[in-house]
Amino acid sequence: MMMLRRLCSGAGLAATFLLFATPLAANLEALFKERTRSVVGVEFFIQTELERRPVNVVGLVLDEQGHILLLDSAVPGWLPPDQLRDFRLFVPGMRDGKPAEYLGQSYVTGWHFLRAGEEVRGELAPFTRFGIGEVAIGEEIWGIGLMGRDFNYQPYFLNGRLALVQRLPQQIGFSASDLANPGSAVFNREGAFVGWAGNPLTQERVLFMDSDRYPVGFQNPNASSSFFLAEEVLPYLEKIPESPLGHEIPWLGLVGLQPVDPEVAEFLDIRGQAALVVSEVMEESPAGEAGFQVRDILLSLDGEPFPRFSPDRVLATFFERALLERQPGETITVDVLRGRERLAIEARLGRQPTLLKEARRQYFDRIGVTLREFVVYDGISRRLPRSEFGGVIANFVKPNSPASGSGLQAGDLIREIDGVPVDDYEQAIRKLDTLDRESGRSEIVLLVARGADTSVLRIQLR
Amino acid sequence: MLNQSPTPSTFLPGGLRRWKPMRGAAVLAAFALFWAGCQTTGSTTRPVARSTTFETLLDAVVRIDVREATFEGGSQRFETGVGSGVILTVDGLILTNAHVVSPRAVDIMITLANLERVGARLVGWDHWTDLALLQLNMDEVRRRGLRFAHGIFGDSDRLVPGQTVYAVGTPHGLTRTVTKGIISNNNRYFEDTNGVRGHETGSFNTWLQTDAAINPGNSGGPLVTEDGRIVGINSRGYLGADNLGFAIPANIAREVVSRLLQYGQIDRSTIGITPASLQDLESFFELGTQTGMLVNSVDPGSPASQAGIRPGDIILSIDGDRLDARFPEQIPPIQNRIANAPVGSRLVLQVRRGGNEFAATVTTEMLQSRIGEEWAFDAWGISVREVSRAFARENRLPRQEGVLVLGTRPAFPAEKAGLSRGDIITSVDQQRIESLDQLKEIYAAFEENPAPLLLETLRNRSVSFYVLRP
Repeated sequence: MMMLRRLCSGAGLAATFLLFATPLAANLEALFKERTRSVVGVEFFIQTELERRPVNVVGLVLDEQGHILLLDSAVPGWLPPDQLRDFRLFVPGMRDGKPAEYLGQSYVTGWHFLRAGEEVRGELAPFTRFGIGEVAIGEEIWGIGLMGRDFNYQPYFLNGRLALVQRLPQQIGFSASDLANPGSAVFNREGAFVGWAGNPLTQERVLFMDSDRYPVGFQNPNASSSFFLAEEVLPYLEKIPESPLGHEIPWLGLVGLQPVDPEVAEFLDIRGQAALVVSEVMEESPAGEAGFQVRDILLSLDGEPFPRFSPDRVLATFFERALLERQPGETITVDVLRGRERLAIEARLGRQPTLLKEARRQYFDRIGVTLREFVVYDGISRRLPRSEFGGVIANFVKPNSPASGSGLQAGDLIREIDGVPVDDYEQAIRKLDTLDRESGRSEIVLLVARGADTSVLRIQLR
Repeated sequence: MLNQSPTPSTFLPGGLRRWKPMRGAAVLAAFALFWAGCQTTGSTTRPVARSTTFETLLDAVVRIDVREATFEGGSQRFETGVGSGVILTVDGLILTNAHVVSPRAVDIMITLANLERVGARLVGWDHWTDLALLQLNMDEVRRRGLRFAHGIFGDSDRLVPGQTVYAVGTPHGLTRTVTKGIISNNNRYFEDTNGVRGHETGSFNTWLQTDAAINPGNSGGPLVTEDGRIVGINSRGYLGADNLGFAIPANIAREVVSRLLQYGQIDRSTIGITPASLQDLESFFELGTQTGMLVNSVDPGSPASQAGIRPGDIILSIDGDRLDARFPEQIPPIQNRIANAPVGSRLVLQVRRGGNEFAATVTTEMLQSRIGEEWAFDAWGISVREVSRAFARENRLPRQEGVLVLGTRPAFPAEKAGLSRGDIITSVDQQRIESLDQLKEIYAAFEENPAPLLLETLRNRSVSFYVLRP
């Protein structure tokens, strides 16, 4: 429905230009046509235990090697890469997709990368081919929209004017109207690339029904009115991952960094200074070893006082990204206010513990459960003390299966299987596998933790 | 408790939610029976001639109007509710539900069966069994020469399923309603972690289940036998079901009444476990039949946890007495066994884990509700609740400290500073807040000399600072 409407308005605009063609407008049409191949439609499938779900997004062509850039939201980053299947690229206006390879994501921005198969690379036009342009507030900018798959990813024209540029902490341009599909390209009047369309914004609206007002948020998932400025995208031409897994990601281990608002800063005698409060320090992390404490107030990184952002909370992202830009093993210095005392803490960055998407998992069809390796993230999200880290996670529970019949739910932490404590993932898999194959077994007893409670659950096999 | 039992989470206290639409924020639920008609209008409406005791019982049932403080929304407010109760003694003791009258009541007005109104005070309160004990203002009763009847307890242990019982109360505001039914089950077990206005209930008693219609409005009224003996206090119904009503058995109520009369409250011991029934798991745990109670959950930091007891353990005996919790309804007596030990006593538990058996000594601690004391600081526009031990454990807070924000008033200092419901205030001007009393002192000083304060809060798990300005 949305796509159809989009088509109508796009076609309407094109018709206007055709009827009242001026040299400049004709020029814009030519520029548009030439640049449509700097974006591609991308289709892939998310394969889960029971279903195969298609996903359709738009990507930006980065270079002559056929590298494609996708937004962080385009691919669920927590899914293991082997559940992301059959990536295909669709050159705008073409019916058939061509295979592509998923290369993984940047752990700094979360952006994803694909590589187009060789046979299609010649049909793509990297955005760099059109030059990098600038744009000032009030100037016209335009972008490319792509129709849905049933419309063969037909390109359409969108435009607006630059309304605002904000550092969040990346430089982001905003327009008052839709500029492109999320993940598509934005150009200036001369046809030079000025930015990459971001995620759709949620617009606040008020709904009136009878005499009541209801605040609502509206989002058009197929349209974006904001874009990352070209300068934010260019560095990623050199940062293309080679494979989805196995990255050495730097890690400090401070959790829940909260900005200090200016009023509080004044109260703490750090007037005019941007700062972050530490909510938690992970045990056995580089931060813990370096001596960070809960309620420490961070003021600078490597001697550079934190910049101010509005809103204040952007600073937390800025700091986290600044750490991710470094290498494991590097030493950082942070100025800290602790009570009334000021101190400088030196910390040596470690390596991120196993990520959720890297966690091993196995599906037991008859029982109806997928067991997943416990990762540090599981401990943090459950607020477990380090001493209680362990067990396996029920990552998926099949409806109407013996597992669901026992009351087991996805996300439950399994502590014991048939009276035997679960020490690690491999042992748990072996144990459940043995029980699953045991003929004549009628039930499996689990000790399961959920929230602050534990419970003994019984999986009836027949 | 995850989901072993199909019942507890679906139970709602009689009157709680159903009444909401009708009375806004109102909570209380029951109306008293006026069988006054029988005195003034003669016997034409009386369906059946009953024994004198039944008549007496009807004359002992009262209506209770309560005005009490609430601390939602950033300030102290008052709301009114109506409930029922039954007079037990010649000196005017009245038994009702804990969810009808609570310690927050500021005004309790009793309407006797003869339509005379007289004040009362709260004598004792026990949310664990959903019972409260009131006493009429006897000076006033004597001065005005008021008369009332009192009911007599029957033996609830002798009830048998199928036996006829009557519920008296004012369901949905229909006064003078007597409903008739049978005892559907005389030993039903369920717990409700927030059944009595957020407080826990049902751990130390089983319930009488009856099909005598019990609707919102019956709360606090008696369940009686044909001869007018009180065998239960009607308390709750199963919402969305027909004729599944529940009452606290008289024999439990009797004991609670005597302890409330003596101490005003009931101090209980706890070791911090959530027990569960074995239900055919004996063979899995290699146990003899009729032996043991399953430990479903252990509170972090509790005596049981300190003694090394873990979820999945089986407790075989306490101080040498063997336990049998094959069925859920066998659990409350065991809970009572622990609860009745003096706080701080040492209990020796024989515990089975896998193929091993060991003895664990636990020192009991005082059982506390997860709902701490509530208060409102008007000048700040904030209402709060002290963080209880149980709340801290439940939410895995690093320690038991601070006060929880229940609500803020728009445009008052707390709201303007950025505080919101659910925040826990952990320090003020970098001084740790360990108790509500401490915050009350700070507030008193603020009222005397208003000056900006630096508040530190925990929201979810994040530490934030706010400046509260006068």
